[in-house]
Amino acid sequence: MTRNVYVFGIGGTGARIIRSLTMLLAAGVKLTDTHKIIPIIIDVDAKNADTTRTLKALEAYRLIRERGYGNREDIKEGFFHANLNTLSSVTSEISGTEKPDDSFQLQFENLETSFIRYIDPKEELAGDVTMDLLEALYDNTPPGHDNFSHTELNLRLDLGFKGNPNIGTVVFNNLATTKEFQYVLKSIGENDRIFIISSIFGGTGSSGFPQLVRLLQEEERIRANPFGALTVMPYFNVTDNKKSAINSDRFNSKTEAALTYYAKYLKGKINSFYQLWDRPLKQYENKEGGAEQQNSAHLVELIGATAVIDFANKADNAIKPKERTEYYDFGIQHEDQLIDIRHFYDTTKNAVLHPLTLFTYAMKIYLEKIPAFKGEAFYKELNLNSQLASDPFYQSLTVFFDKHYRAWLKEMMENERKFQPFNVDLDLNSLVRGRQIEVKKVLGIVTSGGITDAFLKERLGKLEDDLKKKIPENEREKRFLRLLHEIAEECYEKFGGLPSEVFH
Amino acid sequence: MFTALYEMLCGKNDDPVYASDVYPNVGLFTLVFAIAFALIFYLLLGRWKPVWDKVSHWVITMVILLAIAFYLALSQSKTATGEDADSFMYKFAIINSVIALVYFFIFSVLLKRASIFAKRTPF
Repeated sequence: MTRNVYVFGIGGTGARIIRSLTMLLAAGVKLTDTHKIIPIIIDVDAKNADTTRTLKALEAYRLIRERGYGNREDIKEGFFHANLNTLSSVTSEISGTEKPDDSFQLQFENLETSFIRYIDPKEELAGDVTMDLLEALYDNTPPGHDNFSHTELNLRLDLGFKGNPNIGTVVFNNLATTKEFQYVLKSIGENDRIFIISSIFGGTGSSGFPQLVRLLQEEERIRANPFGALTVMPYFNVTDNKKSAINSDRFNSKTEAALTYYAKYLKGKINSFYQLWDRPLKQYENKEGGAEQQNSAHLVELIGATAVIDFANKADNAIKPKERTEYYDFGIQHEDQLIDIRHFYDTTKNAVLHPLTLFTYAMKIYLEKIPAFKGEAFYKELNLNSQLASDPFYQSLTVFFDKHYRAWLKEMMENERKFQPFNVDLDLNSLVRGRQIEVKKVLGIVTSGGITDAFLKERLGKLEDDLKKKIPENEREKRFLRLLHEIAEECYEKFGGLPSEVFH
Repeated sequence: MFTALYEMLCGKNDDPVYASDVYPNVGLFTLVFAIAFALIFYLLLGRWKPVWDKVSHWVITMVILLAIAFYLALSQSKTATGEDADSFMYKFAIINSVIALVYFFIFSVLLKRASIFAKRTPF
């Protein structure tokens, strides 16, 4: 029986892991019995660059998927096969509930103000004992003061909670009143699964996660649905900045406090609990949020995204009851500063790294080779001459490969710890790090050149010719996606399987 | 059939050997060559590898065919009549090349969809 999987990504880390999930699904990582994946990003920091970038990747994915496969549910493999869609796509009409915007983001209301104005919009608490209590609980440093960065009551909420879960908890409590959240509650079906991604060391994620679980499970109808969660513990630091409200020296203490809270209040509420951490090696620049908060993609986020896949693919009888929460960690074969495909176990290689390798071959072929094959019959048959530069499908595909996927790979390659599975700037014979396709020569004459232009032209021509017999003219975009997948498979075959190494 | 075609295009020659031998043989071989060239271009090379499938290759193939058609008509005329080449023989050779061109074009249109790499050649 197919089901939808609702994936809530809370805060900047949630958005970044959904970004990685988008890349995995674009690469064709397989989903079992899953109708739709509904990513829902919850971030009060409306201008957060991490969130904005993820939303753009999701939009590009959606357009490519819609043009490639329409609303078809029978597509079980290939690039962009997973139906990644918005909340409003789940059902056309839910009685008594206003349909939300066609967006991947859940919007809060009335956050364009300070925390104190949010609690007390009409300024009725001045001089009241409640105000005394608030001032005792929260920092009340006024604007203009040297220590204004520590203020809590005067913090503008649309800039995020800046590492203050005590503020986030209050704001998240009001999430239930938004029309979008009401729609979420009504759209979740009997068999659907819910997965919540958050970080534990910030403000938005650590406060939002338990609140979201509570708000969702207040709805009797979905209380028994399988709940999965990924909590990401510190995996990076930020530079010291006295003017910033964020201080990474507090990450560990906040993690400990949050874990203690979770142990007490989330007991019996989550079926599958994934936990992820890494020794922080990288110091990000200390940005409090907004358009400046754009942290590079990290291996931990990619691994986090595999938790969503793992949870979505679990057979119903493999999910333990909430009273016996199962906890999951993720391990690699060998600790290193620089990680590549060889460091992973076979399960991850087959489920995740094989599709990513195919997608990377496809990216290189699409961006660097196909535009140079203008004279080939397959190019003309697919009408690429007029469409490659101007049709929204191909424009989105170009943007996805170039601005989203390649950028994502490069960020992980340069981050700490480095994840360098591919040599994206080298030729196709040297694409996968750890082994390359050998060029064979006899008496100086190349007898086997590996993945050459001649090989690509021949295979693209023959594959397109075959696909044309199976996929009609009016589904040309689907044919093109199939073509990319099949040529990537052929490159992979020439490569001969992912490299492995025995570590001692 | 070939005799009627050539007599219509080149005019009737007083030497009966044209009608009895030259026109039928040249006509048949020109047709066979045009088919063979089109088959090799579209089905043999055109389905094997993308090595000889572009418009420039198609033009070169056609020029070779035209040269063969020209030579075939001229040499057959000279051999059959036992005379040196005259203006009629050159006219016949040129017309035969044009006929080969028409054949090749027709077979190109008919066969190109069966090709893989040359299905958009020449258009």
